[in-house]
Order: sequence, then C-alpha cells, then structure tokens
Amino acid sequence: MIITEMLAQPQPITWLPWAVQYFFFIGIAACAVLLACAARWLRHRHSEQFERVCLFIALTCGITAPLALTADLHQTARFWHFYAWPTPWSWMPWGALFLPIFTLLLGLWFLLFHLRKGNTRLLRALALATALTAIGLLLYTGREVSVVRARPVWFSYWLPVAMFLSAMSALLAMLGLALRDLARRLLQGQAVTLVLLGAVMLAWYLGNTLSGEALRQQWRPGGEIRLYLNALILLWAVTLTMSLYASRHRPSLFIMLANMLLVAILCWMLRWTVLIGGQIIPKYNALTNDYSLPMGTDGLLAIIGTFGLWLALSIVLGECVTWLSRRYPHA
Amino acid sequence: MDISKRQFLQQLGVVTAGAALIPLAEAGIAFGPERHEGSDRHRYAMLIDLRRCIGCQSCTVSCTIENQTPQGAFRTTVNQYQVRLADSEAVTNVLLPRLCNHCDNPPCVPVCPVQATFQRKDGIVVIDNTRCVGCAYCVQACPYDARFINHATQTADKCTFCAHRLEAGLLPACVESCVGGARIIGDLKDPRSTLSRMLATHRDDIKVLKPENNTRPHVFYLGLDEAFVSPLQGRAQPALWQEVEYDHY
Repeated sequence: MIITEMLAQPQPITWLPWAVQYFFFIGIAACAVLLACAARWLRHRHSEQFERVCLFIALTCGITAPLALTADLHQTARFWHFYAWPTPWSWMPWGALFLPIFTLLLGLWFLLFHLRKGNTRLLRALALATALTAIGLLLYTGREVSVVRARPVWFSYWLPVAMFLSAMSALLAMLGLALRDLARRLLQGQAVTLVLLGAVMLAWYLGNTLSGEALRQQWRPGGEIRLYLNALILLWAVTLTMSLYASRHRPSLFIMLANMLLVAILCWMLRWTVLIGGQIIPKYNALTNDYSLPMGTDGLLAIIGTFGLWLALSIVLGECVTWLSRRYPHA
Repeated sequence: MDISKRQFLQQLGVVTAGAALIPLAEAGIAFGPERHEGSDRHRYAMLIDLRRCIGCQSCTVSCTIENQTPQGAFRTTVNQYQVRLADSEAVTNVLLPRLCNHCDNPPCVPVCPVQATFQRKDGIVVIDNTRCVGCAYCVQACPYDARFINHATQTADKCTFCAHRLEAGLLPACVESCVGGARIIGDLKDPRSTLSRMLATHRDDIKVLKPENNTRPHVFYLGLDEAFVSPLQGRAQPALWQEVEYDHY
C-alpha cells in the first residue's frame, strides 16, 4: 500500500527558543551550585577560589534562566497562577516552587560569601539547601520533558541524564577558562563527563524503547534531525579530543576559550535538537512540522537577547563584587 | 472509670487536633486531576462514519465560524490521502476528519500546571482560558495534534464538542453542517442513542487513533483502514507540502 498525504495541517512550534535558553542556563546554574556546595564542604587550597567562581556563574545564569522561561509563557503576566492553583501531580509547577527558592538561597549564599558574614556551619547548611533545590531543578526540568509520551523522542529516562551531563561539561569548560591554575584537572573532568555523555546518548539511541526507536527513525538521509545529530557528534569528538590533548599540556588562553565556546555550543545544540527538533517531528502526519527561526522576539532576538542579558548581568555583578571588595578590603 | 483532669485535657487535645483535620478531609485534597462541571449522567462521544465523509471541509469551516478561531488555526480539519495498492494503478482517496478525542485518560489534563484544562463529568475536555498561562504543555502532551495556541487569546485552544451548543440542545457546528451525516455525536450512557446503537452494531469495525497511547479516545471511526490507526511518518509520503503553509501570528 502506497499512501500519499495530500492535505494535512502541520503543527506549529509552541515551545519557543526561549525554552532552549532556559534549559541551557538553568542546567549550568544548577551544576555550578552543586560544585560550589562540594567546594564548601571539601577542604582544599583552591576551595574558596572555586566556590567564588561557581557562585558567580550560578547566580548570573540563575537569574537569566527564569526570565527566559517566563518569556516562553504565552501569558507571561499570569505566572502567579502557578501559586494560586498548586498542582503537584504535574512536573512543571515544581519549577515555580524550586526556582524562586533556588535564586533566593543562592543570592544569600553569594552575599554572605562576599561579605564574609556568617560562620562555616551556616554557610555549609546554606550550600546544602541550595544544592538540594538545584537537584530539584535538574530533576524537574528533565522529567517535565521526558514524561511526554506524545513526543516519543522525549519519552526517555536518558533525557534528564544527558541534559545534566552536557550542562556539567559546559560548566567545567567555563571554569577551565576562569581558573587557569586548575585548568588541567577541570579538563580531565570535562573529558570524563563528555565520555559519559557519549555513552548515555548511545544507550538512548540504541535502546529498545519507544524513544530509541523514534530517534533511530530520524536517522534517515536528508532529515533535519540527522543534520543536528551529525553536528553534535562532530562537536563531541572535537571537544573530547581538545580536552584530552589540553589536559596533558599547559593549554593556552586561546585553546581554553575555544574549548569553552565549543562545549557551550554542544550543550546548547543538544537542547535545541531535543526541544525544537523534537517538535518538528509530526505526531501523526507524514508532513514534517516546518520551522524556520523568526528574527523577532520569539526567535533570534530571544537567543541573542538572553545571552546579552547574561553578559550584562556578569558585568554588573562583577562590578558589584569589585566595589564590595574595595569598600570592605578585608571582606 | 476515673480519670484525672490532666488525662482528660490531654485526650481532649487529641480529639480537638483530630477534629481540625475533618475540614481538610471534607475539602478532599486531590492527588490527581478531578472531573468537575457537566453532568455525570452523560458521556458524550463521537462516531465518524468514514463511508459518508466526502472531504468537503464544511466541518472545518463551520467550526471556525462557530468558535471564531484565528486564521490558520483549526479545532477540526479533514486530512486527505491518496492510496494505491502496490500491484495496482487504481488510486483511491482516504479522508480522515480530525478533532480532539475527548479521551477517557486524557494526557493533556494532568500536565496542565494550573488546572486550567480539565475533564467535565460528561467526558468533554475543556480549557478555562481565563486561567490558562499559555505554557503549551498540553499542546505537547496531546498525541493527536488536537491542541494549539490561539494567538488571539494567547492561550491553549481545542475542540469542546461545542459544549455551549450541547447545553442549549443544539448539535456541534461540525455535526450540524456535515453534508453526508458522517459525524454522529451522542451519549454513551444512553443505550438508545444513535451513537450507542451504531457502536454496538459495528463493534468489530470500530477503530480509534493511536490506541497504543492508552488514552482511550472517545472519537470512534467506522471504515478506517488499519494503516491509518498509527502515525504515518516514515510510512507515507507527504505531497503538496509546499502548498501547506502556516501563519504563525
């Protein structure tokens, strides 16, 4: 039987590039908090320096992410409905609970850290509490997407793991650029997370699951998702080689910068492939849902704007920290 | 039995604390979405008799006029296919009206983060668009592409079986306008309804879309080939794709 689809209604993309930006920044912020918490609890000569940089990355990303998320709501001003009608059986509203607590605790931790206020026990407790909300965020963001059976590609337990590992490798690459003294160790860590990410992706792809089958179906010639997957594999191979090579030598600033950018692109592109690519796969039709990136606020401007916001926040926060350390030289 | 004042007060405290929980139990704290509104004496469903559909799209048009959906957005459409057997030159048309399946186990309802979308007691799945935040989680969760974001209201939108018309004793717009009488709406709880009788008569030939998703759809098809029950991607060729455009405004 040869079936030709003559007339069908393609479904538009409803989770916009804002969502990709959210998943990118929140993943890095949550991972940064986890590492900062580890630095707070483990005693090492680099602990303080490590915690400082992690907190800085976490706070700037942690403020950018929810702003991108609210922009993805088509009725942004109704965000308070999440609190007016609590719905614990859906994964999404858990974000409305975790996000503000995460940012609040993180902000407090950042402030106390830089003002040198609060004793070790308080800061350790604060670090632990923030890390718990970070785990909550990683869990809810991953499960929110992976429970959607209607999009078979998303319907996999591997999805949250891959999201976490890719965010962690992007964070390690960022830290490698900021903490040149620890660069080799961080690059080794990056290589390990990248290997784990590769293994997870392979298990996801080869799995005898609905999701694995859907993913294999997209590996057909000419398919848009195949193009993304090819780009991801290339980026993964290049960044893994770079981290392995650079961890054995003293890497130059250029290498570390290129490494950071490439790993960040890998992490971002994985989210783009899963979230936007996942939506172009039709649920019933033979016709693929067409998507071309709009130039406006629902497209390119959203992407550039969010990165711009993060950059601006980094500059402002950096200046604040400098001002604080000048005003309180012993802080 | 002799009890001391202290024991009496202690026990009174326990009773009072227990009594304080009674309103909570009465309020019925829900751990999953509950059906509300509508009457549980009915269970509305639709049968689409494909033998009678001519693909005129009058259901599509009447629905957009009745429900005032924005241009390019539809609560119901009729998909059209051409089918040719491998060893034959003869071509036949397959017409497939699509709409919300008002599933008994609707995946769109539990994902809604603010309970804006819910199932009525009569089985109709509706959206309170004054509460909807437009997160489009339900759009993702529906396996039938039955939901969309209405860019006039910036909230989720879908077929309601024209609940407002049913309540006024009228037929849904698509049923009313169907020239071949292919769409039959009725009450499954009434064994004498045309729908119940037709479902009983053609029990073995009735099909639903994507039964493997365990959604228990309540839009039934009569005369649907097995090949169209599951998704067509990878098994069918899209034609005229360049002429299908969507305005995303």
